[in-house]
Amino acid sequence: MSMLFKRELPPARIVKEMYPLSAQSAAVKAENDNAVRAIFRGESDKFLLIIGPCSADREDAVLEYISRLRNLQEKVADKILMIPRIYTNKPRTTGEGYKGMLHQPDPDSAPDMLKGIISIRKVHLRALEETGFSSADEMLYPVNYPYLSDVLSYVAVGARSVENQTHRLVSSGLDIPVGMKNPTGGILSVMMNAIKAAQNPHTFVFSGWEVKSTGNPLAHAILRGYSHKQGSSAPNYHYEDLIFVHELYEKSGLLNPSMIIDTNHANSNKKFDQQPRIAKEVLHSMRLSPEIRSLVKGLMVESYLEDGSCPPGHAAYGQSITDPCLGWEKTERMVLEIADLL
Amino acid sequence: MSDLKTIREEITEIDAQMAALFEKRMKAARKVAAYKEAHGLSVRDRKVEAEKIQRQKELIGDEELRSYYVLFQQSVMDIASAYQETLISGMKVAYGGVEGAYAYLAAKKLFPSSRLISNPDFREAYRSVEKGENDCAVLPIENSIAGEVGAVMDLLYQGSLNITQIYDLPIRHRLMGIKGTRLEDIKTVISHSQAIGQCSRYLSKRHLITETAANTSAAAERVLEKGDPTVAAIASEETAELFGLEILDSDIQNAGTNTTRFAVFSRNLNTPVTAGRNDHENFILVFTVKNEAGALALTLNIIGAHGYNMRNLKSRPLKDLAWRYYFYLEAEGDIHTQNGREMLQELSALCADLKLVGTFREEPV
Repeated sequence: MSMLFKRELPPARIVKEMYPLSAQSAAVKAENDNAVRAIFRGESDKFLLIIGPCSADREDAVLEYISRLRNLQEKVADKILMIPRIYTNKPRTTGEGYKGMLHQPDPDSAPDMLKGIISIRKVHLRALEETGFSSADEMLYPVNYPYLSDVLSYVAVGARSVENQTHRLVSSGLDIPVGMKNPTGGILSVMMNAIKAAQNPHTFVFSGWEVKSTGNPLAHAILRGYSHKQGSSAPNYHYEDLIFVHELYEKSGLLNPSMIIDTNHANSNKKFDQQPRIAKEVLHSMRLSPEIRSLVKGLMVESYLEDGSCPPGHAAYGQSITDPCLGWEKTERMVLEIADLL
Repeated sequence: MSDLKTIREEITEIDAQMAALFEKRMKAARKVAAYKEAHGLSVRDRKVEAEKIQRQKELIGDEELRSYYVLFQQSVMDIASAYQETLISGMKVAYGGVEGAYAYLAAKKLFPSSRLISNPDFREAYRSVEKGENDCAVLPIENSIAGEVGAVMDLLYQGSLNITQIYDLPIRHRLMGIKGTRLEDIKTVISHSQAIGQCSRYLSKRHLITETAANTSAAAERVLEKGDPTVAAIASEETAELFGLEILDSDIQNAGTNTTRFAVFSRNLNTPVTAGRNDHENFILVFTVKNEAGALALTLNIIGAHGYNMRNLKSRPLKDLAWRYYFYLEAEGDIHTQNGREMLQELSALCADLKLVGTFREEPV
């Protein structure tokens, strides 16, 4: 092997002991989980907003963002349930560039996985302890999930990971909703197969153990747009796309048919400021079709304190250092508009 | 131009203002003395003073006056130090051994005006502070040749006291006898076992018989009592002077430099305010790790991840558990920071037992 085994990392059990969840927050997290699960089971008609920065690059700005979300959540609590996005690891198409807090707890410094694995727990834990939000993260490296298992209320499997066997099997062992994104090529059967795999029980190797999962009935679809083979982006949030997914679900026999629409990525062609318009179009489709209305559980929005994005080292406080995000003022306006339209 | 009378009036007015400030300054010095007494800290911290004066110099706008200001400020600090020494002269400093022993010399150097209290051994000195009979204890923790002083290490692991400063005492062993003794007549040498070990080459080259004493001072005393010109002691120059013995040979230790590191133990943990100048800060941890594979490596990785430079790590046997050890660790950096607190929090999940024994500045005197 051409790998240097640099240092052994503390296991999840130890890192949880370093930064333990308080009993009070554990109760809050259980409540959040139940509220989110009820939406996917069709027992609650609240609209889900999985919302936050593309990447959680710094703890202070992310915490400030989430504190603002808390106030906004209170204003729209009768119609909307928010789950903040705290994305601590970022897939990079070529493996280059900022890989998220897990790799680079300091975005301007060399990777430090030991510090990183502690930092990501700390930021999720602080968010929960200080704001009562249990957040969403991307499951990019499934072996890291145990470090966050007591603080997350939602997990997404990204467009590049959704075909991966390990991601599908580990998703089948989570007791919170897991969103399967459509792959970057847009082929929806890949996404549907991932949901099927995650909803079934499996036996596999995880963290050096032979484990048996129960299957996750809350695994569901996320539409994020796709790329043509020539490279240009194409959306899949339009009425026809949503009806098509409804038909796929009808044929599949899957449990709890559900769908989240990602308003950024290839759906907006990374034009972050188009997200409010896309959101409104999805709401319009929901009004037109009872099938879509029952299928669409909410939106995934990329939003931060400042508009747009900038490379690491140049970004303003609260500005994305990865994909461009919607700034706070526009976010607030969008959320209030969505609440009005629901 | 103002006449002399006006200028003098102006000076009188400034002096009155300075008098008020002087009083304020000395009252502040009094508070510092109280803190130092409670934390077993020495009065003079030359490094701090020098840095402070260098910083304060910049307050003087007129460059011509800056060198005068340095002199002025130096004397202010001298006066304040002298006042603090007087205030803490009632402070009781315990040491292991008798007057004249190396521990006494270290205590005298650190607390020149305080009451130095002799104790039969290190344990007694340590306990006397724990019980509140004395304010602090000066005990050796390590010698540059002979290594750690196990008895003191074990006290600092088991006991409740905190290290608040460290002092490195250069040890220069002398051979000494009663007046009229000639070097070539010496057959027997008395000293503390560590001192005998540190001079082993000198002693074996001359085929000298050795006898041990509780400490070097007791050895000198025995030589004086015997009055035998074939018997000598190994001790310090100061001890020779104290007992009126004649120095027969100097620097007889094996290595050219022989230093013993003394620590000051206090009931209170010193939490220095180091904002902006923490480059001389150090801290000491003692811990045991859980009996799991890789537990020690994980512990050290956490310390490394927080950017602290580990200077020294020793393991000592846990007395009641065979082949189990506790660890003593010294590292550079300020632990009373957010980063330091987080490190301790993380370590506490990895360590079965973890104690911050103390902090110290490198060579405070």
